[in-house]
Amino acid sequence: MTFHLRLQAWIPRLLRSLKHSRTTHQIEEMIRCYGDLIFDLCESVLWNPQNTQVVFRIILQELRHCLRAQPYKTYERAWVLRIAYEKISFFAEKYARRLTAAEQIEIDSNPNVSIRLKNFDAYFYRLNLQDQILLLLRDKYGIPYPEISAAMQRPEGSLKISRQQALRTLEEWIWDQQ
Amino acid sequence: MNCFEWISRSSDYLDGTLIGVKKQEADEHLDRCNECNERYKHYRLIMTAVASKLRSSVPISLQKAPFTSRLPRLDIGLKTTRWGRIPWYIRTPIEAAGIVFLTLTAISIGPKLRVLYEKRLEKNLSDFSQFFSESSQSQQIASNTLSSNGGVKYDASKTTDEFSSEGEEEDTSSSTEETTQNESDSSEKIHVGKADVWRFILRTDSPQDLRPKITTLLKSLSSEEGTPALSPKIEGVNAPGGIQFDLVLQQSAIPKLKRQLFEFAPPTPDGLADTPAGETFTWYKIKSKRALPTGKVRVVIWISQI
Repeated sequence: MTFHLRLQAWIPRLLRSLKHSRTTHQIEEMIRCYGDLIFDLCESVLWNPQNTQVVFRIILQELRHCLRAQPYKTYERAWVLRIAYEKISFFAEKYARRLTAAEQIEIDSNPNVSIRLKNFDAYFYRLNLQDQILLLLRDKYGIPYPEISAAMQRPEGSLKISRQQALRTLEEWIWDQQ
Repeated sequence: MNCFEWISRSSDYLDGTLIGVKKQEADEHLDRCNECNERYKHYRLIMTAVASKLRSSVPISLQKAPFTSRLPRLDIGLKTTRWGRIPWYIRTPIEAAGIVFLTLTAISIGPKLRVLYEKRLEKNLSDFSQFFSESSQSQQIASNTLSSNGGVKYDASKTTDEFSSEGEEEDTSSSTEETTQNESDSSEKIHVGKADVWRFILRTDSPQDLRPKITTLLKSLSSEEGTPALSPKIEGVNAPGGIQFDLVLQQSAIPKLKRQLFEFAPPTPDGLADTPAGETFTWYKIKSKRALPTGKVRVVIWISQI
């Protein structure tokens, strides 16, 4: 009788520990597959290595939380990217580095295109956050539109137009001002 | 394909997903249109710049212990001050002690500030009352001047007694104690708010006929009592609707004045004996806040033109 009661108490613990180990394993697997991608995306958008580590850990915590809530969910890159995109957007609105007016004027004052291209990052960070992430996901990491669409919760057509507008904006900033 | 169409399909063209006839048309347009060709090259450069951005990987510490490794604080653009770098177990007690000290200081200073505020209010009130008494005294000095010009007799010793506070104030303005004593002396002689004002109203159809009679009467009363007239013109002042006399007399002169004015008053017109319009002579007494020496009253005579 006593053994039966003890077994009843142990079973939930055992299940919890199994669940936890399963989640940990999934997180480790995620870091192995998409860790660099997410970390680089964080750093590219936030432009601050110190904050990147913090936001990366927050993304991992959120992923772990989601995995615990749905332990048998088969994770996909689009799903990981969506959570990463939400967290990065949230923190980028607050903590992303932005150029001061003086820095922008200094960069714009140079008419040489090659020097402007060297300072490409300065122009790139003038874009709005969604366009930055879109260009990074598409042109830096080569992620197909359906996944970007799932991550950013926007239709593909809208993403294509946004990308084209972002490219045109950058072109105007770099070439048309001379 | 025109420029607008090429621009709208540029994203697909750059990705290489434009195929078939559309791709051929886009290529032909790029051959024809230098502007779009330039734009295409620029887009390529931009895409290359984006793709060639440096890539960073997850730090090893984060890879090994993603949730437990030590991380830097979130950089929110605020610089840490020297005070912020002090350990919390030293900083917190000091801050708590500072808060307690400030609270106790505020509690102890509050009543003192209130006392200071009340003292300031009292000082303002005393300044006001002093100014008020000075203004009444200066008015009486003007009366003195009038008496010397108008030939009205005035008791110099009495004047000195009555207005001694002013002379003493000038001499001992620096001494607070003496000033306070002067104020108490003047408060014995001057009753602010208790001065009597007698108002006599005569109604007649010819005020100018009554005027010399009243002037003579007032002069005689003033000379008898040795009191100067308050008004600069003892002959009275012409005003719309009549003539007004304004004087300061001894209280004892009032009965005589009343009798004489009653005699000067014209008779009541026929048929108006019991009506207010038939009253050719009325008088009443009021209290005034204007300071007057003890035993003196202000007399205002109004000869109204009917």
